[in-house]
Amino acid sequence: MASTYKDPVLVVLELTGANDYLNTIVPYSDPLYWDNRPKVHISEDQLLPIDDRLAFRSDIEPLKEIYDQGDMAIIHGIGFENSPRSHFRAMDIWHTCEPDSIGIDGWLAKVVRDLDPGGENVLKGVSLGQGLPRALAMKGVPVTSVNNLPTYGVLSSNPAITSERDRTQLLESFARMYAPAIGTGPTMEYLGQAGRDALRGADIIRVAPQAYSSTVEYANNPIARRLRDVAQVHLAGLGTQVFYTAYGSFDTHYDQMGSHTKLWMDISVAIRDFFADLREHGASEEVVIMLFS
Amino acid sequence: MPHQEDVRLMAHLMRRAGFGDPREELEKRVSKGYEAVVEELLYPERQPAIDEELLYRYFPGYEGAGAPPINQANWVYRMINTRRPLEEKMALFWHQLFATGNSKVDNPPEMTRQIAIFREHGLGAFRDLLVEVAKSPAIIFWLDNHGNRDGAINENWGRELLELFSMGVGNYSEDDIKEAARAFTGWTIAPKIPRNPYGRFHWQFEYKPENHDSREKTFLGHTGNFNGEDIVDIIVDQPATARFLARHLYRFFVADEPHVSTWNITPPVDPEAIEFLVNVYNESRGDIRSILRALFNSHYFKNARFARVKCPAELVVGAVRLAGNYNGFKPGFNNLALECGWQGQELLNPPSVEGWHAGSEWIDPGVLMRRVNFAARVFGDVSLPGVQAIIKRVVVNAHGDPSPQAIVAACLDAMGPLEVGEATYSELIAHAERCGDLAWGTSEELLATLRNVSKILTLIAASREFQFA
Repeated sequence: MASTYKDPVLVVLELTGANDYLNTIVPYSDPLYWDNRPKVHISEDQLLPIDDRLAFRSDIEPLKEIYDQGDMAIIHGIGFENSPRSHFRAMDIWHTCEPDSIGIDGWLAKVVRDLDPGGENVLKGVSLGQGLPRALAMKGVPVTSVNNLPTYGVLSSNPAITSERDRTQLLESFARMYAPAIGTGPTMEYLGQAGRDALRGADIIRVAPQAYSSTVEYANNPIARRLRDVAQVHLAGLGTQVFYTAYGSFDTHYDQMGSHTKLWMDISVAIRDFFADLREHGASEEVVIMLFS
Repeated sequence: MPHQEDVRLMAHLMRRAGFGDPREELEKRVSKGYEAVVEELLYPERQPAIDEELLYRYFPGYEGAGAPPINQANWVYRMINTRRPLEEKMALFWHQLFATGNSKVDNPPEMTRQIAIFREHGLGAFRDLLVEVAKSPAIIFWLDNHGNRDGAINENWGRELLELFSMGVGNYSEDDIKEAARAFTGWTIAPKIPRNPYGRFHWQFEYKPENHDSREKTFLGHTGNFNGEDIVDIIVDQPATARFLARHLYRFFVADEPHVSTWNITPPVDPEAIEFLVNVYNESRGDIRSILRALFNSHYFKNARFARVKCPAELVVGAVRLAGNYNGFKPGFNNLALECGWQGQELLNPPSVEGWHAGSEWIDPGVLMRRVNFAARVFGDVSLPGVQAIIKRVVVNAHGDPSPQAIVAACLDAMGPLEVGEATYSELIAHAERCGDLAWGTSEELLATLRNVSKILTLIAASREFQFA
């Protein structure tokens, strides 16, 4: 009997640079909002009320639709005690969930480790974007970090490789050069692990863009393109359960009304298109996307 | 023939104080002597500057370009072609310390002008540089100081000035931040009229006395009617500042250190070296040239070979400088600039004011693959003049000693000199053994030799050891 059970998938979208939450989910019936934000507020005609206390800003209407269908939760007031008020320290804390000490291991890397204790699937956690976020970094937990999905692979398009025999020889040498060795020091060991993970992940993930087709046309913005990559990898069925990507900058301290609006418009349509794409392929039910800042 | 150890040391100096030099250049430098080369590096103005007239004649689109990648390309062109390597390396040092990002500034020509400030003032007194940075329109906008007015304090600049630009967390109070911010009220940006009817406004620094809070302030125990420059004067005399700058210089030029956000609770990896640099800071009253002179001539520096993971700009620029394929005005600097970004270092756009996390944090499996693929593609390409020069040295050497050991040693020497561990070495030997004799009597033999050696060079570029500077 075929099972309809599918492993749950978490997509984390980091709003880099600290989102202005009060101008995202607006506490419009609270006089403190209007008293303390005489200028940097969302005017009343730009609000989409959720109830008699809270409202979405109007340019994130696609998300309101998801909310109205009962597919979205808003969690207020997440934080930690004794904030040092440094953005960077705060981001360290968000990525490690260690508010009282300098954490080293990423919280999502721990999730990946628990899902795949043997580190057998290097695609269990996939980051799409520039560099690996600290949330996914942990010694001994292999994850894959992809910047450009179509050209991913070790020693790809190298002019010194003119035959399959060359490729095999050089990749075998690469694997041995990056093999574990005693006494080389932590950085060399870390590089060795990274090289071995790259080699393993690349072979598998390359099928994703080739196997993908969809009628959904994503909006033309960077986060929509990233979520399309997420959809491609998810739909390829490679066992990925944790995705990570980021968008920003939400570091909008001054003259923020224009830039904050644009960011939320981009994200709203990107998420709408992403779920439309997954629904078209019958692959949306197991996927949760979490936005945080 | 220069002594091999001198060449190794010079290669180390040029990797750190610049973006590396081809083997032939290293030999020329060795003949001048190490200390003389350090002096030459420390006075970039004694070498010819990049000819901007000529640069903009070849690349008219570079001048005042609006697109971020063109401005990055402009900088990468300079990193590769400069005759003043340390000037360009210091520009990168200050860019990662005073990290300003175009993601918010959204004014690429202004970012390029900020890098020019680093070139001009990057080797002088730290005090003067801090004042110039405080007046940089890009940083004023980045840290909201244009919104910092008497009666409406925006403490963003004041906070980062203390936390990330001079003293480090734990050496001042929240009140000091507020007082510093008050002293910098009125330091803002004046838009100039754009050159064309439609176009960007070029920013310039403007001091608006009417927006300045001219009442008394108390900052780090000093009380007075301080303006911004007074705050900088107090900051540069703080022991914390000397130590903070020493740790940054050590991390950038000597050996990998934990990231700046942990410094208030993580001691330096080499406290003695930091004390040494702190003393020079104090003796020279924060003269950056003096500190660097002491640093480059110190045993801490000389003994720290391959103790840093290359940042992407070092990896990319270093590889093409050796390959010689971007010497002069050629198309393609944009791609090199983008490559730095794909490897995690988007020039002119660090992820936050905290700058890039360096050391092994540059590396993850995806980035490592990019770095390996980029360098291996460069050194596997026998059409490039620098790769041909490397192969020529290897072949000439094999003429005297054709053993696989000699071939591998010649490859490592011509590409650096580099040093590799056992695992890498035995793979290189295995490929050298497959080469057989390196012959070049016929065109077929020559082609086979080029291919065989290029595979060894490819493997060296793909090795773990190649990731270190």
